[in-house]
Amino acid sequence: MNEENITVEKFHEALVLAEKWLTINRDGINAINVYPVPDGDTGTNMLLTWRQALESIADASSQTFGELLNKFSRGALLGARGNSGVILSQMIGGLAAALSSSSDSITVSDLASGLRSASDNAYRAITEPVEGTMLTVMREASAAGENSTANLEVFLESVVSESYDSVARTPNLLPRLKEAGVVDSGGMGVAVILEGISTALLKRELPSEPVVTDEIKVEMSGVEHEGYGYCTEFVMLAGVGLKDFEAELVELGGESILVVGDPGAVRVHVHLEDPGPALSAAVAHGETVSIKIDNMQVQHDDWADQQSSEGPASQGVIPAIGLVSVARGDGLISNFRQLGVNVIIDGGPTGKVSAGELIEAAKGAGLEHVIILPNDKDVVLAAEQAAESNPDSIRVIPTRSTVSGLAAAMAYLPEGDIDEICSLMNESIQLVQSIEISNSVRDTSVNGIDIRVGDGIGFLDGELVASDATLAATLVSVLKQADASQSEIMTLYTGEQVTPEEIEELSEAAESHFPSLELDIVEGGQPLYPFIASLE
Amino acid sequence: MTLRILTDTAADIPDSLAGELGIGLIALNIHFGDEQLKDRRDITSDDFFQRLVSSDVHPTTSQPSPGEFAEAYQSLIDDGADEILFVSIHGNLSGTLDSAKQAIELVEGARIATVDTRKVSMAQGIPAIRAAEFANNGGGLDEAITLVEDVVSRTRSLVIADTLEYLKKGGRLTQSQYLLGSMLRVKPILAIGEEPPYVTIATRVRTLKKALETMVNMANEDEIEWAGIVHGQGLENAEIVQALMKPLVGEVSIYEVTPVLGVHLGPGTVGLHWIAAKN
Repeated sequence: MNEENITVEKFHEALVLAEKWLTINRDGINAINVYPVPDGDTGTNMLLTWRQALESIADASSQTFGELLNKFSRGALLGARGNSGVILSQMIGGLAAALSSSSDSITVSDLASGLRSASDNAYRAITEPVEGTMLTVMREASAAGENSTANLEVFLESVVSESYDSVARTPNLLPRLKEAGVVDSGGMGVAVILEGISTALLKRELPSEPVVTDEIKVEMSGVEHEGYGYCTEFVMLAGVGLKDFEAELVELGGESILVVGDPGAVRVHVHLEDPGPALSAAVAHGETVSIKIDNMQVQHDDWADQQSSEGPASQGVIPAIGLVSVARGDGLISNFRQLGVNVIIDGGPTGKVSAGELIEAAKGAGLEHVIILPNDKDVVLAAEQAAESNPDSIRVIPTRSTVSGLAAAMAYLPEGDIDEICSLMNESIQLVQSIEISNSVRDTSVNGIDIRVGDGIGFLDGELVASDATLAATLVSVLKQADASQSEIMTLYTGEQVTPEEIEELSEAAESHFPSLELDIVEGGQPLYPFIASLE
Repeated sequence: MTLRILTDTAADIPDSLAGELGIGLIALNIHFGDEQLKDRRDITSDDFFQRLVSSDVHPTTSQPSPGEFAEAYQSLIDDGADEILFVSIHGNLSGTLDSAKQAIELVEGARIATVDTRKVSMAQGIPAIRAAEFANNGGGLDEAITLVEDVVSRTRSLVIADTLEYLKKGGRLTQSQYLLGSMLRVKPILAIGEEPPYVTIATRVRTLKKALETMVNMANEDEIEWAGIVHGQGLENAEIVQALMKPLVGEVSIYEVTPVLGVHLGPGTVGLHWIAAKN
């Protein structure tokens, strides 16, 4: 056993230098804070806890080791801030308890037992200790120290070097860190404190640059790409060129693309924000089988949730629910996609889709449950047939128009209780009135309304209810019949052929007749109907 | 035996009501950078929200330290308590419960227990209020725990936030839930649950008015034993909810969201908490 004892004064100085080193590294530690809650304050919390502890020994002249550490520990406990601060205060408490009977100096082996006690005490205090955190770093650093007590220098160097090595290993123990591409922030805080203490005790200088730099962050975040999206896999039986299809996937924004095999049996793996277009592209080439889509974000969240809950046993099985919708027009498709639709079926100019096509699309979503939005009164029947063929997995919300489909999609959620979600979606379509405005292509009479070719015709919930010389006058007439003054908002989706002047004319007419009705104009891009609108 | 109830400021129990019922309130912390403010003690709700929207620094929150808990326990003991029940904010949304547990061994002179309500706001407040009423009628610690657990099991919460940005910034909302609720032309209704991911989109509707109505309808799918409305700079909307609730369950009180919850919800929040009647 060596004779290099550590005096009270020397240790006090070391605690002060640790504060300085932690201050320098605070922002870097904050920046890598993702666990348990990614609120970016671990560095600050540890620092302020340490500062409070230091304040409590600021006027500490001529006292024993035990007295100094007891005050320091009490100060930390009172000032502990945040999760990391509370755990740090428990480590300090353990150190103080082990050294409470020391008087004016301690030996290397005293310090070794002190660090061991710091780790033990922190593990005891936490209800559910999680590895890959500051607990692990303290435990591994103290264990390395206990095996190297030959002299103070060997001891401190092995503690500090093991603490940083342990920090570097945290992503292997806590996958959430790996996902985020960072090491554990609290663990880094512990390593920084140990280095600060060690630097003072060995009478060395602190490095001029912080140990946690932006460079570390960038380097580590390169490990995983941002955003999770969908991991999509399928096999194409069509005779398509590997390179050509790969190019298509690149075009669609795919990442981690793998297109292998031979034309006739091409296996595809791709990560996409939206798997729909890739599947459509594959199906356009010919038969596509073995479709498998995983929502990587949900996997990630499930994983993360599992980490913070009481364990896998408490996890309910969450069914993944897909949404298939018939739609045409870029703006409308984009609106459906934003609301979470997985597969869009182009209904062609008439919007008609067969039961067979719907079943294929539902299978293409690759999920346990699929909800279909037919968005046309004739397609409702086809969708119901599709559901009858597969009642366990296919549900239909009988949306008879596009805007009714959009209202249903609004209430859709990708996970949860399928019956409850369908019931919310069914309720939401009751709250919306659907309007379609078009031009008549012939002279006729419908529902007692005389119509001349070229006139505006207006439908309310699928019924022809108005006709007037202009589209604007037709809309106003429909709105009156819909009692629009009782509604809050009209969303007007503009068709692919309409001109800015026509839009202007319609919105002015609506605003002047219904001043309290909020108007939201969205580029729908739909064929056939110059305007469709929802009233709610 | 004298039982006293302690809860934290996230329970949204007004100071006056806490005083009346003898409920101890321990303050969580709000941090604007290095500046630490005790929730409600150091900043009023109005001042807080003003600062929240104007400050360059986004505030964070933290639990009271074990030392502060020890002081809170001690002050109840000095006041004659020999049993204390701490009714805690959701143990996965805050570290408060850990501090409360660690402080138990720092004090002597009382039996102290904690309950994780796995709720926030008045959904956490109402079991604390019920327990305090029980304690004031001579009830003891063990029965009070049973009472709190029963109330908690029947209490539910829905919240409408003006924006999800604050929940996202504070790390209380997962990316997938955020994406579901933050798109244009959507007003999400949030549920606060016991299971992960804790804060979820319960449903999405088109407008605020519809969101308020839907929230009331969803609550009234239960037979309601008690309900409370909370708001953070959203009194007008809270009053609309109150008017919608009146014909269904009678007069419902409105409470103010404490600043520490305001950090995560932002201004313009309205929430509805209710206890479902026993079957």
